[in-house]
Formats: sequence, C-alpha cells, structure tokens
Amino acid sequence: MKIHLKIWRQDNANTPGKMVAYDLDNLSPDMSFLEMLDYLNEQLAAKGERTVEFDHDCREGICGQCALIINGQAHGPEDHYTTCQTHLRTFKDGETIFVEPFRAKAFPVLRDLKVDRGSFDRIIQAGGYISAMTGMAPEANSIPIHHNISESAFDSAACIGCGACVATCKNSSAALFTSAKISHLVKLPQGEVERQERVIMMVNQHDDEGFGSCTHTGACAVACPQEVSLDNIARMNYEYNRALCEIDS
Amino acid sequence: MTGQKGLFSTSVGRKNLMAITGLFLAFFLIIHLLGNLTLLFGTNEEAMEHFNEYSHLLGSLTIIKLVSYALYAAIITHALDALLIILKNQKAHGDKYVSFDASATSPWYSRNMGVLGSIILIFIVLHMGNFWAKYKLGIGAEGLDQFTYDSGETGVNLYKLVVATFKMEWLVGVYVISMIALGYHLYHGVNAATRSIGVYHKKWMKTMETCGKIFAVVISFGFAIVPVVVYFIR
Amino acid sequence: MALDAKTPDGPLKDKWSNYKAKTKLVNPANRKKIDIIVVGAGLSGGGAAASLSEMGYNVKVFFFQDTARRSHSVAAQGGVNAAKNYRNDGDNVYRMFYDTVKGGDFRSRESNVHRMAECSVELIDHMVAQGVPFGREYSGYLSNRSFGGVLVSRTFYARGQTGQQLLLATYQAMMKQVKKGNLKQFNRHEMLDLVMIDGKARGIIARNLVTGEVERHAAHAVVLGTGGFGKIYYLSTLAMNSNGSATWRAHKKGAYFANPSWTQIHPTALPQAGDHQSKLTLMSESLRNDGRIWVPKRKDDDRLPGDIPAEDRDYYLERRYPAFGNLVPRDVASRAAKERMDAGFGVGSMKNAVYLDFKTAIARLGIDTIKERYGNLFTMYRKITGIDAYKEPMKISPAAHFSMGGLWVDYELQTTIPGLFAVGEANFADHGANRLGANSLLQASVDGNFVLPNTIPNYLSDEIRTGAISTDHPEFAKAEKDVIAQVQKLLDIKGTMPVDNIHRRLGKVMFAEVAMSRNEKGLIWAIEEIKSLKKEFWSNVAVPGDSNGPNSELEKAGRLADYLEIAQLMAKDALDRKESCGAHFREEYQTEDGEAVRNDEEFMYSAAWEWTDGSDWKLHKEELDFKDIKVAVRSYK
Repeated sequence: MKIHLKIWRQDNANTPGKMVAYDLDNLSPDMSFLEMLDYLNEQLAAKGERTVEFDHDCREGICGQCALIINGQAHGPEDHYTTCQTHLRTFKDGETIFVEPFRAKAFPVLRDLKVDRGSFDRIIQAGGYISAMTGMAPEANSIPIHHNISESAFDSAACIGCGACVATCKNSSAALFTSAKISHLVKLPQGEVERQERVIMMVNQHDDEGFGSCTHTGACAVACPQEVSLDNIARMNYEYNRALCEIDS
Repeated sequence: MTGQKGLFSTSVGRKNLMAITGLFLAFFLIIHLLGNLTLLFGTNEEAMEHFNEYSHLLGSLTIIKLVSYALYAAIITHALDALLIILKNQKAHGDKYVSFDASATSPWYSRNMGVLGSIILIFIVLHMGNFWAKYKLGIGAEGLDQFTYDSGETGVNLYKLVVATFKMEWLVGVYVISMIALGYHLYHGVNAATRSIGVYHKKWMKTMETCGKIFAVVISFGFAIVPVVVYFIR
Repeated sequence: MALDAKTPDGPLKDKWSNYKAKTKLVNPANRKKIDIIVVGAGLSGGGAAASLSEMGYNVKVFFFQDTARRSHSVAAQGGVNAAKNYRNDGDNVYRMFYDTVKGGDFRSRESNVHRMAECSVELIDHMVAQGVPFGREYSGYLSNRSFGGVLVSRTFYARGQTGQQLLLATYQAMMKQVKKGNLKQFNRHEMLDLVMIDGKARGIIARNLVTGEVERHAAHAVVLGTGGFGKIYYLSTLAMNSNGSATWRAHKKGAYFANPSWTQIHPTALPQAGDHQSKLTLMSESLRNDGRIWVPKRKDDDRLPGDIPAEDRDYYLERRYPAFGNLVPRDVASRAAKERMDAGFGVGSMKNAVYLDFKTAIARLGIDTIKERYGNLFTMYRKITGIDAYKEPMKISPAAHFSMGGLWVDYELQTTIPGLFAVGEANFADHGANRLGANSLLQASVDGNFVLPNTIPNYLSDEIRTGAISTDHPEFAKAEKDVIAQVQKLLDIKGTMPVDNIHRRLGKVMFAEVAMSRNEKGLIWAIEEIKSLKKEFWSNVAVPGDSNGPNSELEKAGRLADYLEIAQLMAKDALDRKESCGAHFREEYQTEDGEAVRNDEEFMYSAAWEWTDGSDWKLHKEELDFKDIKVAVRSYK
C-alpha cells in the first residue's frame, strides 16, 4: 500500500520546526506504524539524509517510550493502543498521515518526534513510592490484602508513563498520570502510611512542572493504552483534600 | 509540613474553588426554578398571585439577602477562577498541534466550558437587566404595573413584567438558547465538580454521574420551558 | 589468569550465610567517600543503584532510555519464582535450586544457584513492601502459578505484567534516592567504554544521546546491569535498543565473556509476518499452563484450525513428553517446534508457526477464568495480529529471548577486572545452559537488591583511603579519545547500506546457524558470513547526520559494530562446545529420537573467553563441581 506522510521535523527545542512530506510505497498492511518509520529511515539513510528521530523501545506496548500524535490522536486512531501497536491496516491505502510529537510545555522537543518526559520522573520523585528500604520488609503474607483491592491497585499501577494523557489533554494536565500513582499506592496498606505527604508533594510537583488543571474532559482515559480510569483523578482530589484537612493530625 | 500550599493555589485547589462555587450556583438553580414553575400552573390570576407572593417572600428574608450576596460572589469567583485556570492551562499547552482531532476523545461541551460559561454570564447580565434591575433597583421601571401583596406592601408587578418581556419572540429565543448552553454546562460541570472535590466511590461513581446528568437536563429544560409557555398561554 | 570463583567454604546451604558473616564491610561514615557507577537501570542495575544509594554510597546510574521506568525488565510478563512454599506442594530452597540446576542442564555454578533460591524468599517480601500488586487469592494471600520445567507452583505474578510492576517498584525506590540526592541519574546516556587505572575499573566514558557530548565519569567501582544481547538476532523478543555494547566494551578491556553462545530461544513468541518486521512479541510462557500446542498431522493441511478434528492434530509436546506435556522447559519446547516446522508441519502463511490452542481450557474453565488469567495477553495478541484468540488458536513461533551467557563473574559478582561487577542478565552464572521461566526477574532483582549490596563492600573496604578518582587521569583522556575516534569513524564511512539492513542479515545468519540447533559446518559458514558482514559494515554502512545531537542511526551503528564481534565469539563458542546442553543443541550430539546428549566428561565447564588481539579469543575453563546434586540426564519424559 501507499502512504503519504507529513512528519514534524525540528532540530531542537530552540529552533522552529515544520511538517515535511514523504511518500512511501510498497508497504504492507501488516507492518506496524513504527516499522513504516524504520522503512522510511532506511531510505533516508541510504541517501545520506538525516533520519527521522523518534522514541521507541520495547515495541510491545509496555515500555511507554514510543509517543506519537498520529492524525491528531495520541498513539494513533485506535483507543487504548500504543504507537508501536498501531498497524498500517488501520489506515486506508493512499491516506495522508500527519505525525507529530507529543506536545506540552512540560515535554520539550529534543529533536523531530523525540520529547523529554523528565517531568514525569520528577513527579514520582516527589513522593510516588513507598519508603521501604531493602531489607526492611516483613514476611509477604503477613498483611493479607483483599483480592479486589489488589486488583484495583493494579489497575492504577498499570500506567506505562507514556504521556499520552498529557499529549491529548487540552489543558496538558498530568492529572491521570499523577493520580494513577497516588491511587495505586494509597489503595495498598503498605502505601497508606505516607498518603498525606505523597499527595501534597506530588500535586505540588505536578504544578511546578507546568502541567495544567484537569477539567475532566475524559480524553486522557480514552487515549491511555492501559485504560487507566478517570476515577483515579477523583481519588487523587479526595486524597488531596483529605490531606489538607488532616495535615496536623 | 513542608511544601504545603493553600487550598486554592494548586491545580487541584483551583478546581476545588470552581467546583464549590459551581455546585453552590447549581443548587441555587433549584430554588430559582421552583419559583419559576408557579408561572406555568393555574389561571393567569392564580399564577400572578403565586409568583408575585413567592418573589416578595424571597426578597423580604434576610437569609435570602445574604445568600444573594453569596451568589454574586460565587458568580464572580467562578468566572475569575475559570479565567485563571484557562490562562494557566493554555500556558501549559505550549505549541499547538498542526493537526489535532480532539473530538475523537472527548465531547465538545467538555472542552468548551469557558465558551458555555461566557454565554451564561452574558445571559445573566441580560436577565438581571430584564427583571432584577427593574424590580429591585427601579431602573427602567417607570410606567410598570404595581402589585399589592397580602402584607399590604406594594411593588412592581413582576408577573406582568415577565409576561410582557416574554412576549418578545427574539428574547424567548435568546433565553432558550442560553438555557441550552446552561444545560451543557451543567451536563459536564456537575459531574466534573463532584470529581474535583474528590467525591469518589468505586461502586456509586456511575450512578452519581447519571444523577448529575439528569439534574442538568431537568434544570435546563425546566428553565427553557418557562418563557415558551408564558409566550403562548399567558 | 586462572579463574577463581571465590566460592565460600562450608556446606552448600551455609555458604551464603557464612559469606555474609565473614565478609568485610564499609562503615556508614566511609560510604559517603565511595563513588559507584551503575550502568543500566532495570531490575538488576536499578535495584543495585537504589539499594547501594540507600546504604549511603554516592551512586551514579546511566541508561539510554529517557527514563529508568522503561528499562527492558518492564517487558517480562509471566512472573517471578520464589521458594515460599505457600501452596504446601513440597517446595523449598533445595528443590528450587535443584530445578534450576537441572533446567540449566547442569552447566551452572552450584553455589550461585543456591544463593539465588535462598534470596528469592526475601525478594517477594521486599517487592510486596514496595507496593507491587501481586495476584492474590480471595483470602487476601498471595497467589501462585506454575511455569515450565518444575512440578510445583512457585511463580508469583502481577497479571501478565509482572516485570513492569517489579521494575516500577525498583524505579520508585530509585526516584526516592534521586530526590534525596544520594543517587544521580543520567538518562539518555550510553556507556561507550570502561576506564581502567592500574588494572582496576575506575570509571566510564559515556555519550549523552541528546547533546552528543562524550563525558568522563569516575568511580571506585563500576557495576554493569545492562541486560542481554539477544537483539543480535535482529528479530527477537528484546527491545529495539537493547544491546551488548557495555558488556562487550568491558570485555575488550579484559573482562572474560562466558558461554556467549547460550541464547534462549523462547517457544511462545509471535511469528514473523513480513520482511520489514522489527520485533517478535513475546507471549508469556504462562499461556502454556492452559494452552495446548499442536500442528496438523497432515502436511499443508489448509483447513482452518477450528475445522481440523482432534484425530488430525498432533499435540507433539504431549506426545513426546507425557510427564511435563506443554510445560516442558523452553529449550525443549522451542526445539520441538522447530523440528515440526522443519519437517514441513508449520502453520501460517510463512509456515513458521505452531498453534497454541485454548479451546480445551475455555471449555473446562469458562471464558471468564481465561480472561482473568490471560486477558491482557489476548488483548495484546489482538492488537498486533488483529485476531481474536478466544475464537481461534494463537499462532506462535520460537524467538531469540535471553542470554544465559554474559560477563564471567565470581561468587561476588565481580568480573575478571577488579572493581567491575556484573549483575542480572549481563552476567552468566545462574542459569546454566537454559533458563527456567520466571527466573530472570528473580535473578536480576536478587543480584541488584540482595547479592551485590552484600558482596561489593568486600571490594570497597579497601577503597576507603583511595580518595576521589580524578577524571583528569591520562587513562580517561585516552579512553575518551578512542570513543570520539570511533564515533567519527562511523560517521566518516558515508556508505549506502543502512544499519538495520546489515543487522537484519546478521540476524538471519545467526538465527539459521547459531540458534536452536547448530552443527559444525553451519557454524564455520556463519563465522565467514559474519566476517564478511563486518567488512561490509566498516566499508559501506550509512550513518547520516552528525554527532552533535540525537542521532539514532549513529547509536545503532555503534551497537551493531559490537554485535558483529559478539556474533563471531558466539559462533566460536558454539563450535568449540562439542556436546548438546540446554539451549546449545549440536546436531552431531543427539539421541536417535532427537534428544540432546551432554558430554560431562569433557565439557562440564563454563567457557570464559578472553579477548586477545582483536581477532581471536583465549579460552579459560571454569570446571563445574556438583557436590550437592546428582548429575543426571535431563529428562522431561
């Protein structure tokens, strides 16, 4: 099949970028979207042209490194897919496809389609952990956790940190990302001890990184490859208000 | 604790403020609507009696007076906070996408709460000019009918003012359109507000959401029907 | 140099306690004076970085991903083993040790394996405390599943994303230390050389993959947790950027490389569907708990799988290995699949797959149970292939997966270079010639969190008076110059052959001759092929752009340059080992019905290769001595 690509090319965060057109032929519908970019890059490399920089790694939807806006949608047209899981069979023969990086103030472009998502790291650093040092742990079965609670904690913990929630949010809010970690940890008895400090520090860091406020449009949860639920955000807000009320107790 | 910020100075806090003021205003709408419904029932005389007495009762209670100040404050806060949030969120977004398909992931009204809110704000100004300014402040009230309440006091005949106002087709149209805007604003806003203040329950989340949506439809439909009915039957 | 494994004295079960009781330590006040570099931020490197910085050392961690949470440990699906015996099914540390040694076909170091089994118990405690949402029973206690090659249920799991959850716990522990200032992270950095001063590892040269700058970093010890090199086959279950360069460059500085040819070919990956395919996605081994593997009995049977009646199906694993059935170890399952496909019974358009069928399990357990157990894997399968595996069987195929080989390390996880340690998949010691399922998360986590923090102080206790290492030392300047020269050399070739093209061809050679089944003729041919690809690479590779910013082609080229050398050593190692053991199956050494034949008389050793002049290697043998286990023919019949 044939595809017309319009790809965002930008040298670095300080130089302006633009869309550049590329035409590809002899593609197979079974190719993944990233394999198509590989194919394009091989052609560019053979001609000695600088290849298109894009982030990718595991190519099985779990590492969260691949991050493209394809035809105006984070990770492509299918809901709950990662970019690497998007295949050409989703597109029509001869279609024009726009490819852009994830955009947000807190995700500066490094080159072409690569962005810096270090802001996510710093949100986790602010409190997205349980402070159990190696060697401290009690016997694993000493604290039974209800099956459903554990499963629910997993649902929140499943976040792969790709940033599609931010990229697709009109406010560039990282509420879904931040709240998923807060919910994961607070649902478990091990994580309850630090619940107050965690939510306050993580929300503060979220703001300091320049992410916006959540207005509950729900776009993030639709784009999320792991189907992390919007309910996590309500849970975060609950935790936040609760922490403010109980802070001195 | 270190790093603790004020309740309303973080992304979550600002949304708290939106939610609290918004829910307060939504609650007020119930009271307002109950009064309006008196316009729909009975003969013209009965409706005039009920409506005017109800309006007068509200106006004479101190508590309602205080509530009305709270309402003005809520409207202003809600609008200013919204402006602040929108500006901050735009800043957070940075560069725009060349091609972006927002409709694929979220309904239009959820993304346009600011536009809907602005329509409602303009409507409120118009609405207060139509009735409140004449009824309360006497601005443009010259030549309006007077009404004698059960208590013996007299004042502008609000019923007649309403009926006269709603005989203008274009204004009925404006009211209905504004109520549609209000409906969508509430349709998204009530649920968003409960989420913002952290009302969270794994099991009841869906039910709550449905209630919020029903509320929005009932309220906006209720308000929209009044001018139309008045236009035709009063 | 003679190999000294430094195995502690005493009975097997007491070795680790004895070691910990007697080893030298570094006092907490002195730890601040010690710098440690960790390369790799997965379960082994990340675990080491978190644990060591927690102890008070100054730690710097380097990784090429944009954040540590993406390290490839994230992709492990099925689970992590531990001898907890929660199921009361007769499990214990010794049995786990036994299973692992047997699974590795008696080619691993007894003492290391036993230690791994011992530490597995505390690892589960640790991970639960970190907030890993492991699968649980309705009673609230931890749940287990079964994996290939064992007769007990000792695998702990978090749905099909166990690796992700363990990695996130480790990542979070690291982030906590970053915030505290004990740990400094260097993301998008790639180690390009090891710096040695007076025979000791004293730092690394790393390239910043964003700015292109080549940087010097010094430390008292260097830890490599850089994973395996299975991506050498191009098509593999590994991440696109996984590579063998850090270990290889350490090897060229003097660290011995052990058993390089032992690569596990995973039996349940998705088959190749086209020429431009970049990756063979893994489908967890746990699927074999409930899935049945079969091929049609008739060649070129073009009926749909659902239309083929039971009597026309060949459930070849159940037929050949009645005791373990579909749960035979990976090497056995892969080879059996290859045997069927080579005989012409493969399915799919390229005849390169076998069926993994859940029909029986769905009929027995109900679709909901299957959904709860494997839902995310079925979803993943649908996303990639567009096929609903609840309705028709999955098509699976063997794919390169795990490197049992790696840098040779002693009991303390120290390589033959003093001060250079290797943890996780980057080292070689624990899995022998074949790794059991759910043991890789275990080994990586245990190495990083429980072994290295106990063994590295023994080395560092002599370093407390050394003082800070300066990056102005001439050795740093020299290493940096070499790295810059190599980068420039790659850019200056200005050829026309894309890196991936050469890599793909290398992968084909390797998968044909240095994978599931090997023979002398093929290996000799492969070595020649690799040499000619290497020549082509250095004369005609296309690396566009410059080195002053992100340049993926340049990164890939540097990695492929190393792969071309690793490939040569893999083939040489495979050629040298004239026996069949575990993943290493030499066609010349098999029984009449195609089972592997070991040669314990001559090959009961780990082959540790020393880099000599750049074209050849010198073999050192670490003889394996099994005192606590009866060496037997590995049988799963």
